[in-house]
Amino acid sequence: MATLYPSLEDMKGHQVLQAQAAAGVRTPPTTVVTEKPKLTSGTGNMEPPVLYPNLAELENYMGLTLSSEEIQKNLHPEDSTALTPVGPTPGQLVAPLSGNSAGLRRAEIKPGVREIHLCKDERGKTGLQLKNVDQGIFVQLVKANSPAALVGLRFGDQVLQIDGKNCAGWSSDKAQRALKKANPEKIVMVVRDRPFQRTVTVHKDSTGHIGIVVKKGKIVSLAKDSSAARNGLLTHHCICEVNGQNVIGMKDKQLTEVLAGAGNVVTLTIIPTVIYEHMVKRLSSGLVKSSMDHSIPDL
Amino acid sequence: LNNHNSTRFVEVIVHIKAITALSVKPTCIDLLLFCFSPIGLYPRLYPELSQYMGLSLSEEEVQRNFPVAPAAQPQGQLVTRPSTNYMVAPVTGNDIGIRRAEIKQGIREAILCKDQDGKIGLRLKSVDNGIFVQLVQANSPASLAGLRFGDQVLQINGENCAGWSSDKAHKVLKQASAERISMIIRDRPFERIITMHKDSTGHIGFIFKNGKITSIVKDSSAARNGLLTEHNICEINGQNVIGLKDPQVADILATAGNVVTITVMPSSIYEYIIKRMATSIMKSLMDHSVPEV
Repeated sequence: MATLYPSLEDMKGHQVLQAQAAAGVRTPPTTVVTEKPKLTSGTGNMEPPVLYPNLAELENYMGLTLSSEEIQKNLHPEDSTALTPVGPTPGQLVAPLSGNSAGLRRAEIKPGVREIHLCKDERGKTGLQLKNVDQGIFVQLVKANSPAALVGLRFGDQVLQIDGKNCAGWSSDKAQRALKKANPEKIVMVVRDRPFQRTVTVHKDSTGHIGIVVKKGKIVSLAKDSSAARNGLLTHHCICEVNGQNVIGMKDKQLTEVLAGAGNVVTLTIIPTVIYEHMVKRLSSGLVKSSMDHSIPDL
Repeated sequence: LNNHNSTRFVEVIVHIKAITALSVKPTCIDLLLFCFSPIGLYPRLYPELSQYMGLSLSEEEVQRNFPVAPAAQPQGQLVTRPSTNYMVAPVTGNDIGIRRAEIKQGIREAILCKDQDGKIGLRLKSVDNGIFVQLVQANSPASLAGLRFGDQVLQINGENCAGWSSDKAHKVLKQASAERISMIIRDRPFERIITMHKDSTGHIGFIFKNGKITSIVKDSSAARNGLLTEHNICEINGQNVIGLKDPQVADILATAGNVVTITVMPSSIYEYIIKRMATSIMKSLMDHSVPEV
């Protein structure tokens, strides 16, 4: 199975490392195994017989094959750094440059269904606004400092069940009513993680640019030969999150600031504009700007 | 043994051999076998390793340095898949349909060669300033390389495809060397998979027409799992069904087994990708084979 990478720069970096490893120096363990006996025999002075036999002589010790090759196969080089290309298990991502970027992990869209428990605050609100899209119920708004924000709900999450009842085919009003009537102590919701969105990981160049032009939260154009172009970012898409932090409704200047402060590896969560506009239909823009949750999620 | 690296370990083997000199002590074999064979092969036959010579050679220590291959997971119980290793699936288990359909979150390289007619069997389309796979012909180099409808092509032979028109992309492919074409692919970015289970009557719970989901049946697996209308079915258990007649698709669904993973794409995007592709080509040439996993 082909190796997977989160971004193009990781792929190129990994290929360079592999090329280096193939042409490069033998790794230390090979020399260590044979080195030890030589060292000790040197310090053995005149003590016959040799105190520490050559490992090669162990080859037929008690019928066990203990030649250098066998040991090499079983001993893992302890000094392998994060950059050394070890064969990845199929399906795992290799990321020599993106590494263990916290942004990547925060933004990661997990394919699958999870259950969450929500309570209402003292005013009986959840801070959640839902919308019907294509006979499914989606999170349209998560208010800042609300129970919904605390439980980790994000714009675009699909709500499959509320208190055990399927939300399929509900209107937005019906969904809001269900939330209103629900028990303030505990609301059980089954959620699918942001089905309409996807993440793209890009790297900043030496001038700190990713290579996109953003207007009103939408990607309007891509710079030639930039990381955005290389990694296949598309126009007519809205940016929902930067490194997992919700940026919907932010002014373009604020968004640029978040991008600037984001570190060298930036994971953008994007959604096609057509679908985005469908989702925020009839969502008051005042509400979006003033109360939407823009906090950085925990890992 | 504070520092558990290979050098020290070799030292230990050598050291112990020397100490025992010519007498063959069982403990020696135990130590050596312990490291190179599965843990627990000689459980209580020999004294505890953890006390041997005051060395800390407990199972945990050794296991940390000598990872043993993980035992095969029993079917139907707690199963983890490599790239989505945080999912628990007691009912679905290690279903092959999911593995075939799974959309990998990342980019990969695919190497293609042209066939004797100089063709690859691939048709590309420009969407939102990116290049996407519109058609993969059956029994073509493209299908061999595992390309699928909806895959995004990021680079062809090292050149970024960003901003190219469909014509330019086809021209580049035509001019490329027949021996080796390197493509960097992002796996089906506009699609997603939904796994559902058939009920006792064999139904999943959705109605479709011309490959598009038009309604969801109440209280069905489709409703429970949040399948949406206005989406086109691209694959069933990883097998491409685009361009197949509705009865053919129904047939595939019926024979699919109890766990069905459908790959869907929002209709607005789907319709844009297949725009100006003759329906005859879609029906006759498209690759509908079952992918390997």
